[in-house]
Amino acid sequence: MSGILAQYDSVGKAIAGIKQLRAAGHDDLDVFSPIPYEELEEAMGIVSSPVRRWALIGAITGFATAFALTALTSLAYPLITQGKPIVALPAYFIIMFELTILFTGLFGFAGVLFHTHKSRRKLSPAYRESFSVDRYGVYVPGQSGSESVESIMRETGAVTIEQGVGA
Amino acid sequence: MNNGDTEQNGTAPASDTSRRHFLKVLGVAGAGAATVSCGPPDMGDKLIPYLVPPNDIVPGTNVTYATVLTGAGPEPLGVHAWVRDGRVIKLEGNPDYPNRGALSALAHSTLQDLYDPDRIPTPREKTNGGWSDADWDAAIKAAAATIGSGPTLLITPPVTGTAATLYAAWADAVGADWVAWEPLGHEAMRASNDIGFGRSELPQYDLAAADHVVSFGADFMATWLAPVELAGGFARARSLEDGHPAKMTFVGPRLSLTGMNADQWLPARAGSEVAVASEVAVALAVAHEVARRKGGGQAARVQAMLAPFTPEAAAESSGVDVAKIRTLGEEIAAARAPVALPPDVSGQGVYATEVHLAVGLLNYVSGAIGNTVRFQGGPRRGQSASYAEIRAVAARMREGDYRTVVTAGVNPAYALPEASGFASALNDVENHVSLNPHLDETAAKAGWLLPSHHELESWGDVEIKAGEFGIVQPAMQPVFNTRQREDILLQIAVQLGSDLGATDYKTYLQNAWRAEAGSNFDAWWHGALSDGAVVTSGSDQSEAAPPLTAAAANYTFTLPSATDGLSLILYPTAQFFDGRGANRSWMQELPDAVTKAVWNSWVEIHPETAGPLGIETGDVVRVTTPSGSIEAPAFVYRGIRPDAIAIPLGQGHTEYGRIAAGQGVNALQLLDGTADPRSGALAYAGAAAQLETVGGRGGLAIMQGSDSDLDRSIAELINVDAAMEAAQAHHVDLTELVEAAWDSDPKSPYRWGMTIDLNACNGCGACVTACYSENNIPAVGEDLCAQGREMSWMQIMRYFEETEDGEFQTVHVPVLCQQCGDAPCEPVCPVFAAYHTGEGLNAQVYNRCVGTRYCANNCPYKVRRFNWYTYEDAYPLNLQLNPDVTVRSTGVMEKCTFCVQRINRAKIDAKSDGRPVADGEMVTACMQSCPTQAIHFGNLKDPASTVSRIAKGPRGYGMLGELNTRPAITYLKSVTYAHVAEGGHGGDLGGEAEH
Amino acid sequence: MVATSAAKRSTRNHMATAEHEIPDLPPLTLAEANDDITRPIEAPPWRFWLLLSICGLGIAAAGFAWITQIREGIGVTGINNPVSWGVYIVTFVFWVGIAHSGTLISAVLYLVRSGWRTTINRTAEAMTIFAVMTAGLFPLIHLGRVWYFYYLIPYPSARLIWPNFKSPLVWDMFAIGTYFTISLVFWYLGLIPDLAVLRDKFTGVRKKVYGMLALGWQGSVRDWAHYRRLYLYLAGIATPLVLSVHSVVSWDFAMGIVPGWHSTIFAPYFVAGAIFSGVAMVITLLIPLRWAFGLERYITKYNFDNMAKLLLLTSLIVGYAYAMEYILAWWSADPVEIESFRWRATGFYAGPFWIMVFCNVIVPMSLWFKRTRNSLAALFVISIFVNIGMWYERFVIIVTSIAHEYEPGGWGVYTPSWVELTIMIGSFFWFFFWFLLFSKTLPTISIAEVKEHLAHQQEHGQ
Repeated sequence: MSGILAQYDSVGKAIAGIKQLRAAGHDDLDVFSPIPYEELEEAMGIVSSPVRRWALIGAITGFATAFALTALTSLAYPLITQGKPIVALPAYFIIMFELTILFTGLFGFAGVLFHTHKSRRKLSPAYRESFSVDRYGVYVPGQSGSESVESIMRETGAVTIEQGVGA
Repeated sequence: MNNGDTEQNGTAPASDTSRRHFLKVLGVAGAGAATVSCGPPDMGDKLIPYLVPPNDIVPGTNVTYATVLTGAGPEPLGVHAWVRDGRVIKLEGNPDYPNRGALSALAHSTLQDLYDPDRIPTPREKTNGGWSDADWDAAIKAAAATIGSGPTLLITPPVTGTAATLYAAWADAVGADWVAWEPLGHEAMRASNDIGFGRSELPQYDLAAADHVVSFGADFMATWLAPVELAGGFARARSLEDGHPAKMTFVGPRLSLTGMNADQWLPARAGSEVAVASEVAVALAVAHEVARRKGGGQAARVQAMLAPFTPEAAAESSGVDVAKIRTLGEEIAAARAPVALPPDVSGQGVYATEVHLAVGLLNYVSGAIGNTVRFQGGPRRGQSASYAEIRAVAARMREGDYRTVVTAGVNPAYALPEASGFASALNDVENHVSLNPHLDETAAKAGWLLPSHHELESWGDVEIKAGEFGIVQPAMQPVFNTRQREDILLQIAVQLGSDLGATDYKTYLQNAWRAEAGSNFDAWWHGALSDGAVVTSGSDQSEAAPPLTAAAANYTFTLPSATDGLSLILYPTAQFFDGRGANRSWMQELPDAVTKAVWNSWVEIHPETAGPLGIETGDVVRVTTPSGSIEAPAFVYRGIRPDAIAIPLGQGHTEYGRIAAGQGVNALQLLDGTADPRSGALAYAGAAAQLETVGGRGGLAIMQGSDSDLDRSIAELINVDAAMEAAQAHHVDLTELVEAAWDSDPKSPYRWGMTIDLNACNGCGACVTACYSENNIPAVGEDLCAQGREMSWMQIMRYFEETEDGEFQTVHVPVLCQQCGDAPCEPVCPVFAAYHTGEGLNAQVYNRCVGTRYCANNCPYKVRRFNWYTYEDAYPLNLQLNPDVTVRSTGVMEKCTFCVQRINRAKIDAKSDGRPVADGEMVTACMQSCPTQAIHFGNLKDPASTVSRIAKGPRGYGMLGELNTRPAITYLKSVTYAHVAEGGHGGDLGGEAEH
Repeated sequence: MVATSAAKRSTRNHMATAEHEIPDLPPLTLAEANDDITRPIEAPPWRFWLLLSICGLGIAAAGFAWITQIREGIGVTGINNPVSWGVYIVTFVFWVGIAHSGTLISAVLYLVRSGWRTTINRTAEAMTIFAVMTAGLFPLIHLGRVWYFYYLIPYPSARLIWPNFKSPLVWDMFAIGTYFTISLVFWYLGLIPDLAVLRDKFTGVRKKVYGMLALGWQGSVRDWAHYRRLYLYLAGIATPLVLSVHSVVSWDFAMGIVPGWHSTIFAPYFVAGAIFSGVAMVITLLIPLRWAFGLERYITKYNFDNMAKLLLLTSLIVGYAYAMEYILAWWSADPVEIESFRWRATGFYAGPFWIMVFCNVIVPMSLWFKRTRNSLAALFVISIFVNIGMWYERFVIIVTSIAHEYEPGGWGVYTPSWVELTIMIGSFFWFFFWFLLFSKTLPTISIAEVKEHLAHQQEHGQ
């Protein structure tokens, strides 16, 4: 079932369009933007990202890994140096600190890859190359031919409107 | 005492001698067999198991043979040769000899002489194209032919015992003249003793019994008469253990190794000791006048003769402060057992005999003769031709009196000045057969080379003292296709159809001893070999204190007029002696005790003389005398008179081997070859020299950064009175453990520790070379040394400390890994190559090391050594490597671990006996070798152990203790009669250099 | 802490105006910006290939030197006993230092919302990554037995032994490894939208390659949400990381007992020095880059003025540290410490010491004047001085300290050999080689962020 794609030439108009479309009950919008823009996300009703959890899990894993690595290997082959304890936590804390950070970053990145994987294999049919330059695309799936949608788009100042995109 | 000595000398204490003694006997039983049972020298290449192992070889253990080294310095040294799989890998002193189990650095390096790749491997004949190999039969025939064809001259080193008999007999048989000669002889001493006491012999100097030693330039700790024995004796006299330490005064123009260890220095003008010596005699004569009223008339006999030698006159001629001369006189007069030592060759001028006689008189009036100087039981040395005589021989050679010259174990072409004319005379002689083992300057002139064995491959005997003999036995099969010198002579005799009673020297030797042995010869012989010594019935019965001859009592001394300008001093060094050490990398790389320089020659100059000429240490200077000139880097040294310069002997070979040739300069060519008219001794001292700068730096590689320890707790010096007070006030609980004892696994019975007595250490370097020998330490060569890449695990730092009178004292500090309980080097290693063992050792695991070198940065003592390259020994030097110690390769860090391989051996022995390691059983290589027993090693966890007791002594301190590295080595402060300046240190002493 | 508070702020709009202010940025359309920034990524001119091959030669020379060293032994260097760390470690610390400003500019300035970072952070981050790539080689080159470098890596081996985690060198390995990885992720994440731009700009092979690298980015607002969240977190963790890395590097020395090393001020001292040298290197790189790629409209005087101020600030901190080292040595009344520092300024290495002081403390003082800060020529020269000065700083700290330690008998000096110098110089060619490649294949300014700024300016009527 194909949908309607509107292209805006300014982020403000795009935001207006999104807001009205959502007011009209079209919540499953797909919006393309060349820039990160907070108002866009708010207009879309996105409050936060699950990447947060990935990062937290990463941090905990990293710390635990480092602790196990340092402490257990020292105990596995105990050797005295300069009369220091076999498990010298102050020294080992440095390793724990570094691995915490390392795992946080890697897990976070994995999270992003995971949550953006939908478009990994092929780009969305609604995507246009101008979206990486200066155009904002608002795509309403399954509404091809819907007058109401098209009128909202026109009113909010879409530069072009395509019917029957996708499917 | 005696038992203590043997302990400290490292053989097992009397309690459990079983194994070592068993091995000794075992070794001896196999001694004869050894030469056949050991594999060929190249067995190192393949591992072939014995099908039927010879019964004297136990894999992985050393077989010990007792023998004697006569070629390692001026004295015969009893040694135990450690043999592993048919290869001698280490020499240790024989405690039953005057060297008391100790050895000199030169003696250790004898192994490098044995395995020297530059030895002549097989008989050779000089052809126009160079040398062509020959087989022995041809060589013997050829030699016999030339010798039979006309008058022959045989030149050998001085020998005693059976060899002397043989050479004389051989000379008679083949109609040859035999001349025994050595470069650094004792002509003057013999001559003066003849004049003074009618005994042209060498007396026994009993330094151990002395309380004031006055050395008139005798370097008795390094090269004079019997360094190992005398240094040991002085160390015992110097010890604070029993009573007041002996004092030492050094009279001479230059502070030698011995001089550096003296309490006071009377810098007498070069060659003018005669004045000072007789002046002291006057002071004593006066002192004795008082005593005479209570009886005792020695002073009276010489007083008249000594009258003209007033302190003022002496001061004027010697340049020494009058007060000092007087004080010395009084001190000697007051001394209980003083002893005066005559100069060595460095002070041997044209009036050498007078000096010796004057010193003899001093000993006479001071009552030393018969007390600390005894003619009974004096050291026996073979009779040697004087320099004058050898010069006469040269003249005869030039005149064609000899058709053939046979040189056997001597190198006159190098060791005599050109002015003697010997070298050129050798060319004039028609035939020259050399039995020298090396292709040295003399052998190079020969037509035939019949290389003889090394001592460690030979049979023989040597007379140590009257009636006391040492037996020389081969410790291994010959490395090269050589033959024993005496065998060669015997075979030549056979060729010439004369019968000397035997055709091989072993038989000849045994025959010589049969009379002594009695009925059961074999048993007696094995016993003699196992002890390495025999005492015959005919021991010395001569009187200890012969009276002063009338000639001496009325001798008219002629005071030398002080030469203006610079006077030249040539002196032998402990590492090269008469030049024989020059082809041994261990000796080239052993830092000179005075300059800490390696691999080169140098000219010692006083700062006051160097300053105006703008000379700094390392600048190349030219020294010129009427006879010649040399160029060498300068060493600015405060321990020499401003009107003298000194150059070491023994370098500057043109032949002799790949190491020696072209290294440094041979200063002998500066001499005009004049001799002391009375004794015929070569005048080494007193030549007038010009000094000029040449420009450019000669790159003198000096192995010490700063000459001052900047008052950091490294070299500690304490006044004798303070030390004695401290000793009285010092009370410790001998049941308490030394602090460092806690730095080991609580479950471990051992915490290995060491003490080093800086009061005993004289800086001779024997320990350093012993360590090279034991631990397979490579010598890296001059360039790498100059870059600061020496590998020595043990370095003797020589620090100057200021005294209140503006003079300076020298402290020699052996610096090796301190085995810190709290070691900074350990935690920084990323791969655990450095870690702490249960017994408190600071272990270094070569296999783990990746070479970050962080440990070296973090070592406050700078004792870690890094392998910048892979160093390989040329065959057959590698046969000397100790199989118990890993040979390191490039990129790994290494250092001392208290001879951990010996520790493990001791523990295995103890375990097999089911007992703990006994105190004194475990001995490190450095400790074993030390002539002054400055080093002790043992278990700090045993409060009763020797090392614990000494470590708790009043003079003990830890190096850089304030760093709290808790070192396992405790140093004992050096003691001096001088007054140490508060916070004074040798800030800008001569010789300051930064590699 | 920083991260979370910044996160709160970032969700409030009115911040936007302040945080997105770039005064000198002219009012361009997004399309213009797009074209300007991607223009350099066309077929490179011959000059580019020339420079690249020169770098290649430099690298080859260094490679030859290293092979020589491995074949003959580390002895071909000038290092000795006692100076067993030399030019290699000096250059290692130098490059690690250079690496710092990158993350500082992109992460810290991001958190504190100073807009002037926008047009330079991409270059700075690239510089960081290449600098770490260079620095990482030196510990290996320095090893006596580099063929056993893996002994340092913790993995269950037949030797049953693991690295010594108490050793500062192991801390180092972890710190720098982490730093490299995080910087790389940070940099790549920022690149993804721009790669999408290039994908859509080009055709043929390049489209495929950039498309692959862009990971199918299509600027869906949902994806942007994930993107911004992670970018914020990375900035948040990179900030403590950047401080930790050079602290750990400084502990390589401060953990040692060596007088001149064993000092508590080392961590902050090194971090300041790192930022100092890093900013200098950014200036050194940006001035020619800006000229060559005609980016004057984006990288403006305003950027340089700010960087110059940062340079001045860190120069003051570094100068203060130099002074403090001496004051502490005097205050400690420890003769060893005092002697060590006396010799540092007056001994064999007085030359390097005074070069260091002149380049790092005297020269940057000229930045007090606005005229200097606004003259690119002056800035360029000063930045070169600082680069040289900072190399010498590490030389002075490392070499003079171990050359003159506790045991005066063990004192010695060190002069580098041709092998060390060749490898050290080669490392610069290696660094510039990568930087050149980057400058012609990837946008040297973050397109998305610049466009974001432009959009904001248009929206909020600036």
